[in-house]
Amino acid sequence: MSATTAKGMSAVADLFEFKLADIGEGVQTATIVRWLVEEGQAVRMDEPLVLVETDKVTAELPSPVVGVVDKLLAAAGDTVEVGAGLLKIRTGAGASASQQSQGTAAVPAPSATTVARERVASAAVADSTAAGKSADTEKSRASVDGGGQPAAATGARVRATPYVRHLARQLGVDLTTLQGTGRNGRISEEDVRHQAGGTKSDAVASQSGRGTVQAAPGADVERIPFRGIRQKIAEHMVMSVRTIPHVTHMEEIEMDALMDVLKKAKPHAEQKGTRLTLLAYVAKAMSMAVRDYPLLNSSLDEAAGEILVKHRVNVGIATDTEAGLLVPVVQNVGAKSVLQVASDIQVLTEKARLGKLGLGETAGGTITISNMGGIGSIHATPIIRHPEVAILALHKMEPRVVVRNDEPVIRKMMNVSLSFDHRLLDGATAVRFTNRIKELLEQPELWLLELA
Amino acid sequence: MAEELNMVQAIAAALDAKLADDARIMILGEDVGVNGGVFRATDGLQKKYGQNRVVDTPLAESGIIGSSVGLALNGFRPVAEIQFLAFMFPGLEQVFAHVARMRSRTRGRFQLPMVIRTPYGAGIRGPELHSESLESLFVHTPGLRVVVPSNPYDAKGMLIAAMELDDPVMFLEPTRLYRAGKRSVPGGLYRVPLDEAEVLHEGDDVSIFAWGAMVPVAERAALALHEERGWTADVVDLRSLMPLDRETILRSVEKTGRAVIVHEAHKTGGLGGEVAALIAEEAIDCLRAPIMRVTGYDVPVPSFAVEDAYLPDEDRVKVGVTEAVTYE
Amino acid sequence: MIAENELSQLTGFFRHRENDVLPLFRVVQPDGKAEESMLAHLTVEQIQKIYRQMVRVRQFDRKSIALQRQGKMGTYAPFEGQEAAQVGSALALRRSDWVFPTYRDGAASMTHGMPLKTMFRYWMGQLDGFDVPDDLNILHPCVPIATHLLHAVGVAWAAKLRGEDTVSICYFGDGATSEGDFHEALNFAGVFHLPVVFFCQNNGFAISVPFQRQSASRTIAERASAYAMDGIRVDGNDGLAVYLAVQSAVQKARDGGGPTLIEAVTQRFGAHTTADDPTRYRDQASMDEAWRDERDGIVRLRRLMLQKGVWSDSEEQRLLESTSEELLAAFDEAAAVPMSQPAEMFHHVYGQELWHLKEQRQGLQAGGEA
Repeated sequence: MSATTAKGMSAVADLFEFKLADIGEGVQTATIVRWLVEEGQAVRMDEPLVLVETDKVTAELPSPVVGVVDKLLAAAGDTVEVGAGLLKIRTGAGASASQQSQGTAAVPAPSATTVARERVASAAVADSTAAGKSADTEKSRASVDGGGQPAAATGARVRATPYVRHLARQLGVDLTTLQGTGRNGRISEEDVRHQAGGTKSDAVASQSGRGTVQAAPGADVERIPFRGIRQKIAEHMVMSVRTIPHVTHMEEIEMDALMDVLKKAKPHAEQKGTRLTLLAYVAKAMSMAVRDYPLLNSSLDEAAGEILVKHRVNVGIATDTEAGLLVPVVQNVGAKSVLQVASDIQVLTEKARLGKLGLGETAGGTITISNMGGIGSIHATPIIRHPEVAILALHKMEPRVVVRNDEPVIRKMMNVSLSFDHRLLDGATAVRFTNRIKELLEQPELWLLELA
Repeated sequence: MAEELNMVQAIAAALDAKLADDARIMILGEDVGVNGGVFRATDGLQKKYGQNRVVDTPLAESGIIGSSVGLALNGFRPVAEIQFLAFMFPGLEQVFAHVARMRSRTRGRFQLPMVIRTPYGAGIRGPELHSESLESLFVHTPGLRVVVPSNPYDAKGMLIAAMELDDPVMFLEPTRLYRAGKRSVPGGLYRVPLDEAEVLHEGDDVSIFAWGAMVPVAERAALALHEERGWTADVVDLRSLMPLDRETILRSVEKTGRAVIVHEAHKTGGLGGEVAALIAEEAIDCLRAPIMRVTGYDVPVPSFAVEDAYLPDEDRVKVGVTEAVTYE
Repeated sequence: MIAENELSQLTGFFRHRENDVLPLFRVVQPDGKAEESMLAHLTVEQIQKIYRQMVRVRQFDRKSIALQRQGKMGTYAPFEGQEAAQVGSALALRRSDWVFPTYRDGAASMTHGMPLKTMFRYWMGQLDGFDVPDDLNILHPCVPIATHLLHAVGVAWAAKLRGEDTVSICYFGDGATSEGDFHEALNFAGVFHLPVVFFCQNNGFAISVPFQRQSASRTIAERASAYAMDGIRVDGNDGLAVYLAVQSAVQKARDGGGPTLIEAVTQRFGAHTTADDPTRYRDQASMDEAWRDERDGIVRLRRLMLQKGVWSDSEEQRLLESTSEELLAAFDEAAAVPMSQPAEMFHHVYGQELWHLKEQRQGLQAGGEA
């Protein structure tokens, strides 16, 4: 392997080839969403060149050099392997290239099998393939052996299928840190996905490449291939439902008091650049309720016959985006203020909508909120994100006539539906948990009692 | 004009169509003439085309194959019938040493456009050495094409394509399917590609690869598992064993992440190992479970009182598929 | 039980006559004396042609052994001693006839037109040594014993079915007659009455096993009757006898008279191959000058020609010189051809390169990727 290849770039005379680096830890390919520059255009250092989408993130790739775009090596819509050239930039006679090559020296060796099946089309390709392979092997060996990390202290061989190992590489999950929940302690796909968090990993789409819509001419039915993210979501759902005996419990909550608080606090938050939302309060209330009912924030290790009770409450926020359902995770809600939670949610949901969620931002969820209020619904049976054990759906808030002190009055009512894993949780526990949330949301003054 | 034909009738129809179409086609074998073949695959052809084109040979398999080599060297396109696969053993030297190698060893000067047809496989309660499945021997011999039809339509189309190919083709006919059912078969000449597998059913949970008489077994197992467990399977009839249709195999496994290979030949050294290796080499990242093989046992194909136990059946396929799908 | 001496009286009984050995057809005696009535079937030019070719191929044979010892060629199967049988038979063919030789039949191949350069390349282990000139119906040496007899049968069958008068001839040794394919081929040829000449060189040894261990029947030619075909046992060291015998068998085949089994009784002077030590199984020392002198087809024919005044020492000298030059030039030409390229092994496996072969070839060419 040549030094230039190892650095993910090669400078031939003044022509600098910008190669796709592994921008998402273990990402293998990226799809070009659109070019932000055109041939002949002058580019500044760090000027965005191209918008790419990977299994994990959508990202603008900034120019590592100053120069003029000489040639675009791929077109919008193309899928490019890590290590493959994206564009060539004619640089000045400066030293920018060498500076940059140092800057990116940590980029892993590329696996430049441009098209997997054309493995040996030329000596050059074969060489780089071999190089890429050995690098891959190194990488996976390091992850299997644990590289001396304490997490692998058990010394046991990691048990996982090739698919799961591949997935772990893609999602940047270190298998040695996981305890498998499958048979014989085998690490399952769900273990890896859970570790990685969020369903953005669902974008690890079908590799069959048969994803085009085909409508039979003259037919009344359009056939849309059931593939990709949709299929992954489906697998996930089916897996969850197959594994977890779901029970859904519903409650209605009077929101007037909290909405008043929210209304008053909003300007303060806005001054700090944060849009305060009901969701932040609910997430925070949930973390408080977990303190009383910790089993709601746990998972089941069937193989070990143990319940893993998690001390950090990482709340997944199920977010509907054009790309499908994404679940960014607000980490450690218990330790954050409502404002911080609101800020996190704002950043994360925005990133999700733009497809710019980073690694880690979908990882590590322990319990989930699905906010259906914006769309409108009064109840549902949300499906738990395995291996979590509970998910809370928020429904449309609306003025309803309710009876208070034997009088019909109008209140802002919101229904919530809590699905829980009946293996771990009794109905009574779940109801109490929901009641605790209800109590906190209906009586914001109680929050003062929680201050440390 | 399409007709409802069983596989053996479809084979006869293919031979008939090519005998009429190409004067270089010749059929030779034991009992293929007056008797019309022991399975009647050449029924009526000698009467129609004469003794010079549909030839009852002496009872000599090496002679049939070796003289077919000579006929092919000198301008004919012989179709040799070997009465049962295991009867080919005396002729295997011709197959391995000459049929497979002629084009290569003469550097293309001579080619052998010939077909060796033979009924193969168990399941018809045949006597000893009437039930072997030795396709891997031929697949392991560079220079041969190896195909196995699993239905009347493919049988005719593939046999016609084989007779038109300029390379020698081992055309293995699953005896058990000869009369297993009729299917609409077009009249005249049509071709089914000799290098394409056929995806018979599409599914998401597992890919089941089979050929020959194991195809309907695999289909039944897939159907049963769909009803019992809700699983859906790609059922792929490989049809062409040399070359394997890599694209179809990998595309399916990449989709399902699980592969089960079903063949009635012995397990060890069987072609299932090759298919598994192909998947492991090229699609290992997709695998969610070990590749399973459901095959005949590594024993001489037994006498027919117990041949049903030797042959993979629906239940054994279901066990293999379940193992793959539930592996976690 | 019927007594042994009564058996021969039985209808349908056949007694093998052990001492009733088929004699050899011979035209020229070891001392050069010839059957004049038979010579009348030949022209001086034909005789000289046979002689010149025998000398030529012997030079090739000796040169090949030398080259093998020098490390310039691989294992070689010499034919010295069998020139009369091979040259006499091959010269009786038309160029369009099909020839199926074994590895010891280089003399026949070269006589039928196989270029010396190709012969050298073959024994040098080069892939182009398997090239066959487009206008020549000849196969390269068949290695599995007797299997090519059936190819000769099939080719002859095709010719007959098309109504052509092409003949095919296959060369094989005494060992081959023990193989099943020998029987199957002769049986097919008999049943379908095919224009094929089965030309057996009985040189007395199949590597180390003498003919008596190979066959209980004293001759091979007599087996022809079992297949309802004509047979002839000929002195394989007599190029003229072989030529006449094969010429008439070939003509009969062309005329629709069916196959013939010819046994040419001869001997190899040397080893089975350059990798063989014949002293392990026979007394090579007893095969001295005198022994060879009596059996050498070249010596015999030269004596005849000298006696008839149609050959001279100076012609002999010129022949040796020109042959030697031809051989050197041919070998130089062969040696000048670049070594076969590894990727050539992938050529012609199938009419169209299959995907796995393409990848393996590209992997080889790319430097070893699987």
